[in-house]
Amino acid sequence: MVATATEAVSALDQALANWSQTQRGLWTQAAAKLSAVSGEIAAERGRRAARVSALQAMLAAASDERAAATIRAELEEARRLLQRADNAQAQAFAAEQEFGAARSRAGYALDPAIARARADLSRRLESLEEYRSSAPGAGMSVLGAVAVSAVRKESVLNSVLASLGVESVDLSQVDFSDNPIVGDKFGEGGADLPDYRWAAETWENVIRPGLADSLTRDDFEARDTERAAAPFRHTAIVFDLFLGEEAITLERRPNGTYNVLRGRHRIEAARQLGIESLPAKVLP
Amino acid sequence: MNGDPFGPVARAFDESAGTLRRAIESSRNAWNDEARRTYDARHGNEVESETAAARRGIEKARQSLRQAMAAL
Repeated sequence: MVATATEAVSALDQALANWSQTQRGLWTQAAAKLSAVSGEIAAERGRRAARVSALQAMLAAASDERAAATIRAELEEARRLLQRADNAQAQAFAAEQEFGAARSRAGYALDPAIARARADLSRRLESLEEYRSSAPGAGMSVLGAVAVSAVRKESVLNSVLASLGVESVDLSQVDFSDNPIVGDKFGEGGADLPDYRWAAETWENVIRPGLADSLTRDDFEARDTERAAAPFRHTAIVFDLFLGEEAITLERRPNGTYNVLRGRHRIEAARQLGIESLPAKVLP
Repeated sequence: MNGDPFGPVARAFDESAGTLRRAIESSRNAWNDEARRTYDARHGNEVESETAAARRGIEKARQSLRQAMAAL
């Protein structure tokens, strides 16, 4: 029975770990099954083709019309069966294509989603552990120490953002009423919705806390190199995306809200993830 | 040959996904609402929707394979 937050986070993490392992195993099993079935169909088609060839040879060698008529009837049936095998093979090929697409999507979307969820849970566990292991009475209460640390980090983060010409903006104040991003418009420019979500998630969970801990772009680049990060999965690129020349750009309105000049995809992905603020260049 | 070669795979997938769903639900009872909402918004919904997408992909392949067996 799950009773505490720590147990809940641990149990969820374990469930995700099991799911990750199980679904990978299922893809492997399914691929082996598909390959075996396709092989059986191909073998059956080969047998039927051989039967057609054999009957054609027999027909060519038939000595009288009566024997030829019998062979022709058998040949017609054999050709019908071969046609069915061809259809079966085409369907099996379609199944392979569909399976391949599903497996590929699981590889680039489901696996990373599980990994991100587990990383989040891991951070939550660390926070809980940190809170629990902090020794009260050492000159400051646990809550006091956590609060001071958080304020200090926020201050470091704001200084870094200011030095880069951006500031943290509350997304609830960003006017999205003219949002042109609907449906699958995320596919434009080679980056799709999972890419944008990954970028927003990486900003929130890796870059932002990293900056608060005084990490620099070089540190993120070194991290990418160390982990042999895949294309579209470089934290240094996310750093540039949110803090470089192409940073989200907003226009401040007299009523305190913001008009979006650049970065609707990033903002929309962040909003979908429940991220409350992002860095942006703010024009008066 | 079996007329539904992917049937066992689809059933195993459903059983495992169901196990995950039940584990999540029982774990969430010990979370406060805010922690749960945040987790769902950032991760839970995505894992759920990608699991559903994977299941749909398996089902499509399963149907094609069934048609292949029927065609034979």
